[in-house]
Amino acid sequence: MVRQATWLCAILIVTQSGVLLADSTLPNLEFNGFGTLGVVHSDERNADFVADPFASEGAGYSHDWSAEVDSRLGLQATLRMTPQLSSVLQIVSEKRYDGSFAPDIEWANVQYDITPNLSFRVGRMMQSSFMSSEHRKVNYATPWIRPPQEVYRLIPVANFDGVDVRYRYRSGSATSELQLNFGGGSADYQTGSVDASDSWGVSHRTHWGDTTLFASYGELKVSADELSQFFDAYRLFGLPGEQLASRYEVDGKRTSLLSLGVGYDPGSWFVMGEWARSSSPSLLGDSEGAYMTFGYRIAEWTPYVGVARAKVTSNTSEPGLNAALYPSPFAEGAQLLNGVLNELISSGMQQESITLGARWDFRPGMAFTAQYDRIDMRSESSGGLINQQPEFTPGGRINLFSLALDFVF
Amino acid sequence: MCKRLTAPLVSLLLGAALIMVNHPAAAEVLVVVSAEAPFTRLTSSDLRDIYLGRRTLIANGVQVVPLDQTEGTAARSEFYIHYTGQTPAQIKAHWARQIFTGRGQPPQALTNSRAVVERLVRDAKALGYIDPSFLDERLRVVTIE
Repeated sequence: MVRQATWLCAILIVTQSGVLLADSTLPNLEFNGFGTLGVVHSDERNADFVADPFASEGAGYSHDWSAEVDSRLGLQATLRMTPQLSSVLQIVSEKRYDGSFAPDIEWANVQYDITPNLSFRVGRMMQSSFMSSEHRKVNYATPWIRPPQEVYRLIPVANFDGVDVRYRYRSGSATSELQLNFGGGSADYQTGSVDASDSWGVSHRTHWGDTTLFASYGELKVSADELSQFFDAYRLFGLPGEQLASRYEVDGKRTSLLSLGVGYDPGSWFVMGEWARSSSPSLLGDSEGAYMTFGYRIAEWTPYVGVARAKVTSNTSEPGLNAALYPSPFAEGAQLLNGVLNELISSGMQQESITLGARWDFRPGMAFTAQYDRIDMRSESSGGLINQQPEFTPGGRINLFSLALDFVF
Repeated sequence: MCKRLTAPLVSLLLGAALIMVNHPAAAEVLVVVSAEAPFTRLTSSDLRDIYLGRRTLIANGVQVVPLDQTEGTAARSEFYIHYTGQTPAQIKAHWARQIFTGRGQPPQALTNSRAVVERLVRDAKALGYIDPSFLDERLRVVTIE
């Protein structure tokens, strides 16, 4: 419903403002694009490493060297209709849940600048949950081959359909931007879809000299069809089943996300770090992630090193239903449900990683990056790997080697 | 006597001038506006914010429209390295972050200092940087504090 209203509103603004064309250089249409050609190798043969948890396959099990983890192409049209009114459409092609590289709409919105410092947008936008969320797919604009997953995986549904308001202001020599957003979004995966509704967020970013400070807080309601069916099955087991279902079910509950970030970049070197926590009174549980990256610039070269950590702070096991209390076949059913429930609540990312890389800005708008990651998964954790085979043992260590050519135009 | 003193003095002055020219802190581009522009001074953080697209208004609500020179020109590299402390590649990455998050487009880029001068004299709101040899009486040098 919110989504339909959003689109209707966007269309109205565009059609109603056609009469305002005045400036001779307007309307103005700009085309830009970005992309990455990347390959990655994982030494874990029994599961796939992926950058996007909704992708169908990645590196390790499906491919020795995968070109599908990081490669993507984005094209954007920016239309400025009047000095106050503009519109952005961005299409991105990357590996999808169904195995295709089908293009999808990443951004599609209309922006109205009420004043030069106050803008209102309606349509599809990217959540500003983390410091680099809004440009997380533009690898050229970030130092790494992919944003540290220990933080950026906390909220995998990145774009939403809704509204946002941005206000820029100055205090002393600092410039700040306050952003408020409201909307909903969804993401498809192989066997279903995850929806986020009634999501709202507020973020604040300050540039003060060489320092950037970032903070954001948001809440969303997550629902997934598959999980609803799973908890309906639990409810067949009387009161104990009801209690477990209401304790762990996801539908109707609010997940919150708090994040803080800091960056310092005096030119010849930089350091950036973020910390974030997501909390949900459901099987999604509570998780924390943090990273720190340090880089040094020598002419066209930028070597960098990073550390990151993710942990689940809520319980990762649950005794579940007491199977002994039920007659066959309910006893077996209870054991089956308990097994799935434990698998779900222990699947959160728990790991530490070290990243070493170097970026080479060999020509304007093009960079080549090589990166090595060593990921130590804590016991029982599968580190966000997908397509886990029966021989896969959680809690191991994986080594990743990645090469990427990033470009913008 | 006089002549004997002049020669070393001249070479000393020449030497000092050379040192100044080669000093990395000395910019080889001038930040300029039209002689009609309502301002002649900017703080270095104003200049940086204007060129990075973070603000379009300076003190007293004066609107400023920055002009760039084409990518790959020496003037452009010198301007950004000297006044923002960032290499052209860092500036490119900065604009990628702005463009692909719907926060605007980089300043209009003109092919050379001559083109910048031609635009500045027609537009009192425009701000540019040029090779010092293109400075003339229709322009004023902006003091960066």
